[in-house]
Amino acid sequence: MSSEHVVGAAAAAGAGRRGGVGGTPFGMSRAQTLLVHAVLVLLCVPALLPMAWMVSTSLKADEQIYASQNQAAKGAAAAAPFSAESLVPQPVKWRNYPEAMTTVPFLTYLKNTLVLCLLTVVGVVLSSAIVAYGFARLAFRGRDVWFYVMISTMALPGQVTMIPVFALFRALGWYGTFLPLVVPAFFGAPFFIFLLTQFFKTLPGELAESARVDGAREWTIFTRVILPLAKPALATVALFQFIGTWNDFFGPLLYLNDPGKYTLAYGLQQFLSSYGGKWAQLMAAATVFTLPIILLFFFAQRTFIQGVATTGGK
Amino acid sequence: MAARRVRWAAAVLAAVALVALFAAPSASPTEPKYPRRIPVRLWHMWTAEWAVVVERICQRFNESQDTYEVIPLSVPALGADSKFLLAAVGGDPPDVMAQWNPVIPTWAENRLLTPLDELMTPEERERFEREAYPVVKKLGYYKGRLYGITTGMNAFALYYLPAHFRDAGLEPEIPPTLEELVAVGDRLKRVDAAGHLSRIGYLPTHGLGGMFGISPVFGGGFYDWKTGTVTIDTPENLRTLRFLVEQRRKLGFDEVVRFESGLNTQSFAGGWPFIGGAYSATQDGQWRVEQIRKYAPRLQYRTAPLPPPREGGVPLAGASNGNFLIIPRASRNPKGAFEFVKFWTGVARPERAAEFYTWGGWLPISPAVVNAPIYQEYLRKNPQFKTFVDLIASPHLEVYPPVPYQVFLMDQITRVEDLAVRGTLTPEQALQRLKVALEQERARRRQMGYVE
Repeated sequence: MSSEHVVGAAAAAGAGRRGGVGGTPFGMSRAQTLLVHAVLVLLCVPALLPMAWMVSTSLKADEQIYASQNQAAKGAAAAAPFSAESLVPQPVKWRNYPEAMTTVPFLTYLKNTLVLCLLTVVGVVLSSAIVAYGFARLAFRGRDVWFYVMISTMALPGQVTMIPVFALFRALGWYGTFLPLVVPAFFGAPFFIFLLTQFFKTLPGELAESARVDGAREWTIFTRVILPLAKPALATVALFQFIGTWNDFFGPLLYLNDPGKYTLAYGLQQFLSSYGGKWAQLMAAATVFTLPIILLFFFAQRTFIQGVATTGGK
Repeated sequence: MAARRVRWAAAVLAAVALVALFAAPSASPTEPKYPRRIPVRLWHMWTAEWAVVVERICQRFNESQDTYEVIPLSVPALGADSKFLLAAVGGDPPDVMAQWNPVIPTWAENRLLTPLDELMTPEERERFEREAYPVVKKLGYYKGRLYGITTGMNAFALYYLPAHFRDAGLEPEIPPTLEELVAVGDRLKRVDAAGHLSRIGYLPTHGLGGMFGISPVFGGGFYDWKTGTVTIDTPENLRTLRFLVEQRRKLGFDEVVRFESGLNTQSFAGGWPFIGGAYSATQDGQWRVEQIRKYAPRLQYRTAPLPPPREGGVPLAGASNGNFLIIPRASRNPKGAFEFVKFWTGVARPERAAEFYTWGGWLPISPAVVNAPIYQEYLRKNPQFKTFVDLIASPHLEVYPPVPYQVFLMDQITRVEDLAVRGTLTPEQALQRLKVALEQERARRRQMGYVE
C-alpha cells in the first residue's frame, strides 16, 4: 500500500464521518442539525464566558470596571458580572493594549519566547521521532526493557530531578543562558517518544520492506517513507511542545537572571505582580498572550485532531 | 494562482514581522556598569514603581563608594523562594536578597543564611541593639543570631471614613475602647430594602486583622518570648476568638459572606473596597496611605490604632511583619553585601537612609530614621502615616512565632479561626484542635530528626 493509499483511506474515512459532501451527519435533517448545533453552542457559552470577560475587560476604562463595586458599596443595584450590559465596554478603550505592551518589554519577551519555542519544537520533534522509530521499527536486544525504562521516567516528578539537573547545568556554565531550556529538548521527551512509537507501530511494515528491497537504508526509510506519513503525529508533538514552552514559567524563572532574556509567561507574571490592580491592562496583556495559541489551534486544528486520533490519544 | 499569491504575501508579511520583531531592542541586561568593581548581586521581589525605587537605592550606593557594584534583579514573588533555594543548593545564590520575614526562621534553621552579627563591628552591634525598634529585632533574630535587617516594616491600623460617622450622627473619631468601636460599628452599618448588608460599620478582617493580629490588644499572642514557646489556649487568646466569633455572629456569617463576595476580590490599589465606601472602618496596612494618595486622592479618611478592650486591653498593640535583607551563606561577597545592607537600612547612616524610606513609603528601622528631617517632612505631607509610625515603635507588636514550623502554625491558626467563626467549632474546641495539630506536627518533625 502506498502512502497515497494511506492518506486517501484516512481522507475517505474522515469524509464518511462528516457525512459526505452536501449531506448531514448521522442522517439527521437540517432542522435536527440546527437544533444539535444550537445546544452545542449553548453548552460552549459557560466555557467561553471567561474568555469574553477577559477581552471585554481589556477594552474597558477603570471607571467601568470598578463601577459595579462602587454601586454595590452604595447599596445600588449593580449589573451582574456576566450580563450583556456589563460585558460591553463603554467607551471602548483600545489604548489599554499599547499601554500593556509598553509597560513591560513585550517585544523582547515575545522574541525570546519565539526563539525558545522554535528551538525546542525542532529539538523535540527531531529527537523524539528518531528514538520512537528505533523503539517501533528496529529490533535490538533489550528494546522492550529500555522502552519501559523510558516510560517510567514519566512518573518521576520534576522536583526530584530539579536539584541535580540544576547543579549539572551550573557546572556546565549554562546557568543564566537559554541552553538549559533548549538543549534537553534535543534529547527526546518520554511522552512524545511514547506517542510517536504508538503511531509508527500502526504504519504497515510493507512500506519499509518495499523500500528495503529497493536498496534504501534505515535512515532513508525513516526520512523518506516514515516521516512523510507521520506529519499529523509530528504536528501534534510540535503543537504540544510549542504550548508547553509558550506557557513555561518555572524554567525561565529558575535558569534566567537577565531581564533581556525573559519570556512572555515570565513577563506576564511580572505584570501581574506589578499591576494587579490595573485589570484592563492586565487583561489586555493576557489577551495578547493567549491569542497566538488560539490562532495556532484555529489554523492547525485539523492536523492536530488528525494527529491525536492517529496516535491513539483520542 | 490567486491562492499561491496569497500564500506568498502571507509568507512575506510573516518574514517582515519576524525581522521587525528580532530587530526590536532588548531590555537593559543586568550587565555591570563598573566592571572593575566587585559585583554584589541583589535579588528582590519589587516590581513596577517599587522596582524603580530599588534601582535608585542601588544607584545611590554605587555612587557612594568605588569598591562594590550592586546589580539588582527583580524576581517574581511567585517562585522566588524556589529560585533562591535551588540557587543556594546549587551554590550560586545572590549575594544579598530582599525577602519577607517568614523565611528567616526556616532558612536560618537550614543553615542557608549568614548571621549578620558576624559581619558587624562591636559598635554597629551595640547601635543596632540600642536603636532598632523591638519588633525589628523580634523579626530579625533567630535563636540569638541576627539574620535579617529590615528595609521596611508593616503595621496595621484602622482606616475610617469620617463622612459615614457624621451621617450617622457620630463624632468622626475612633472611640477609646474596642467595645465602643463595636457599638459605633453597629450604628454605621447599612442594610438594603431586602434586609441584606449594604455597608459594614466595623468588622475584624482576616489574616493579620484576625485572631493572630488582634490577640495582642487582648493581651494575648501565640509566642512567649521569655520561655521561647508557642502559646495556644491562653485565656487571652480564647477571649480574642470569642470576640471574633461574636462579631460575625451578630452580622450573620452568611450575610457577611454574601456582602464580601459582591466586592472586588483583588483588593489591590484603587480596587480596595474601603475606597468605594463598603466599610466605614476597617483594618489594613500602611501601604494603603500611599495607594489612596495615588488612586483616590480626594478620599477623606483618617487612621487610628485599634482601640483595646476595656478590661485587660493593651494599647498600641497588634501584628507586624516586614521586608528584610538577608545574606545567603553561599554568598560570594558577604562583606560587600553587608555594606549595602547597612547603606539601605540605615544601620550605617540613618539620616541618609531616611530618604529611601520616604521613596517607598516604608516604616523604618529605628527612631533615628524617623527623626531625620526628610522623614519628618514626609510625615507632614502624609499625616495619616503617623499612626503607623507610632505603632511600629510599640513594644506590644507581635510577629509570626520564630519557629521553623511557622508556616504550618500560621496556616492552622487561620484554619481554626475560620471553623470557629463559621460556627463549626466553639472557640474552646478550635483552640484545642489547634493545640493538638501543633503537637502532632512537632512530634512528626522530631521523628524526622528536626531539632527545635
